Amino acid sequence: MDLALNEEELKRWSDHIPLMWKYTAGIAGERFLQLLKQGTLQASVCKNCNKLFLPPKIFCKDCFAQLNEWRDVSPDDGFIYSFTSLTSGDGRRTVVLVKFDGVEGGLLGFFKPGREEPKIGMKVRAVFKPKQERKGSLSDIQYFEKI
Amino acid sequence: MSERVKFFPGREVSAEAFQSGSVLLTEYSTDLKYSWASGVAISKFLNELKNGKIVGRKCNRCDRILVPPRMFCEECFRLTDSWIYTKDTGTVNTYSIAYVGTDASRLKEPLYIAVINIDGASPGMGFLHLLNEIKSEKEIKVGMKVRAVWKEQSERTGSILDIKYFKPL
Amino acid sequence: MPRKVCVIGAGMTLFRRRMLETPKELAFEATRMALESAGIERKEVDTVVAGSAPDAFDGVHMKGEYLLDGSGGYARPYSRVFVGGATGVYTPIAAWWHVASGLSDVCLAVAEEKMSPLQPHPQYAFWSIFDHTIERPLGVTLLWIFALEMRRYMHAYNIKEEEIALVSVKNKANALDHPCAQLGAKITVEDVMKSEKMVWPVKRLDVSPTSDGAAAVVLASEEFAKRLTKDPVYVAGCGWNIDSTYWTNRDLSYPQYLENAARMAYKQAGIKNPRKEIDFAEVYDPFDYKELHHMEGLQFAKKGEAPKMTASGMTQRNGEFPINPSGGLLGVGNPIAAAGMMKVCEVYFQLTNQAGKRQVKKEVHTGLAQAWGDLMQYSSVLILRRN
Ligand SMILES: [Zn+2]
Ligand SMILES: [Zn+2]
Repeated sequence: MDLALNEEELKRWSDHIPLMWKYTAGIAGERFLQLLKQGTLQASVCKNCNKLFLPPKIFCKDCFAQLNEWRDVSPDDGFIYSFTSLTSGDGRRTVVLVKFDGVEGGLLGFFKPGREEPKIGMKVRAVFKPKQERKGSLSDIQYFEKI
Repeated sequence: MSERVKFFPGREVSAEAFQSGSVLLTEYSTDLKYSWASGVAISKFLNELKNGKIVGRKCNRCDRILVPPRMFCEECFRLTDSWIYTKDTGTVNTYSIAYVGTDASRLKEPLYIAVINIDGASPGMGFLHLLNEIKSEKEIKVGMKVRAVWKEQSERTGSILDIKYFKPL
Repeated sequence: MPRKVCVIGAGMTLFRRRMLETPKELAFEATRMALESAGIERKEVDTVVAGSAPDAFDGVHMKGEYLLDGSGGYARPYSRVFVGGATGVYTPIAAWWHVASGLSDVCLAVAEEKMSPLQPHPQYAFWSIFDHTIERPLGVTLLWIFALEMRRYMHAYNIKEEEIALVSVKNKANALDHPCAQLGAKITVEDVMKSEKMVWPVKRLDVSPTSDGAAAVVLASEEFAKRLTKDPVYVAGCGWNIDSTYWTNRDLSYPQYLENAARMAYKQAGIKNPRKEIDFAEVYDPFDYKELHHMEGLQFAKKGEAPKMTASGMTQRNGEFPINPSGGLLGVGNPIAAAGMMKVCEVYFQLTNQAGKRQVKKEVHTGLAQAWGDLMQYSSVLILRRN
């Protein structure tokens, strides 16, 4: 464009957009997190596809059935599917993606701090925070530790 | 309603449950900061507002003087041709009176707002601004002639707010 | 020549100010119901189109991606479309291409909106759709632009607020018979006139609520549809059109872009006289004056004459030309994209005699759904017909 203004004539406008949200956990999420608060892990079950989902869903993404049945998953039956380390203000923390045998999906959480190094395939258990500290949130699982 | 499906799904959360937190809620907030380049046409428009003038762009094919100015004519789909200074007077195309703010909360004082067709631009060409120095709400009319009230030159920054408001002529 | 396309099922959730379901779950519930009403399973679905308005409401970026599992889009050719408030009727139009082109036999069209997460009020998200440099500094809100358009419409044809209020009275009353409705009510013109002034001439009862909800329809080729029913509902025509982005340069008293969209749809449907050849319509009514504005753009009434038509009672559910027998956005609720889709569902329910207490008295063969959006300049029109 031959009409371009010289540099000091070009302007910018600055502003900000503050945003705030409150999310519900949903039908599956509400039940899942309330159970987590009790120290229980449950997955929803698709009987058509013979699958368990964690975190639980109210529907099967494959056959699109409504899922009304839930089943206990033992917090001791996890294994590390993948992990990564992050360094932030409060030091180094290891994030693990933990899967459970026969269950589709998995849970994100932290690996127990200490000398033990995580390994892919390592058997782990979910350790819950003390009952009075639980809020109905994924962070009610304090960490995963090697069995 | 369907012959095969006898009820509509969905579970309502009451306002009370939402406020009291008897249903689980996760809260997040953020403050997104932006700095937008104004582009050629709006940069010039803002610079001229600082000079106390309103500027438009002319398209030589459709002969329209466009306000707010743009470097292309959306009708002819070609570059516009020249800068044209308009007057700082105009006509109220439409107006309304705002009692609520951006977050739907009540304003202390109602705000008079209008689309003002600018004299010297083509018919129907105008922009959004505020009205003030209104004696009574009944005084405001579609078709009312108005004039820009400018900030003091030293206070102008090259902003749409360099025009404080428009007032009845 | 495009292939003939049919609507074979429809579903929707309750519309409410706040729902427990996540957006995905809302999409699932509406989609599941649509599939069940069609009597088919997801494995028969070839393609999926989702529609949803600004991401800021649900508070998830890339809402199309977020909604895909709940919309039945997993491992399918899937996409999201977005034309603001017009999305709800545009989504089945996009689904129509998928089938009309021969690309797929069955395409799902799913629309979802969950506005309640945004605090302190969903209206806030609309502020950032205005020009950041020359409009937002003035403190603009979405209501301004509606109020300015309403005022200009009233001025152009000398229309009174009371005449406009009749639309709100009618639609909220119609919604009393809709099991999903958020704001069905028996109100009077006086109630509307006395309701809280928001941005005059817009008052509290001129406006639809903010809502959570989802709605979906299933589109299929004629061949597929004929396996399910002898007498399918056809997509007879669709159209869409948009005006300039410089909204302060537009004619705010008449929606020319809607006339363009309507003429596009009428041509495809072979409709010469829409008022005579269409039996009823679901026109977009986020505000009461918009129903009137849109009736004129759709050529149902001459410019400035929709208020007279409304006052005559002709547009009542049992009138000669029912407009918004569902109860519209004013009564059923306004989860943006889902609200437009709700209108498509209603046309389908009416044409297949599944509207229950809302079923219009006269026999109906042709119905129209319309939505409106972006920065008040987009219109999408869909005409359904049953022989
Ligand atoms: Zn399954
Ligand atoms: Zn031109």
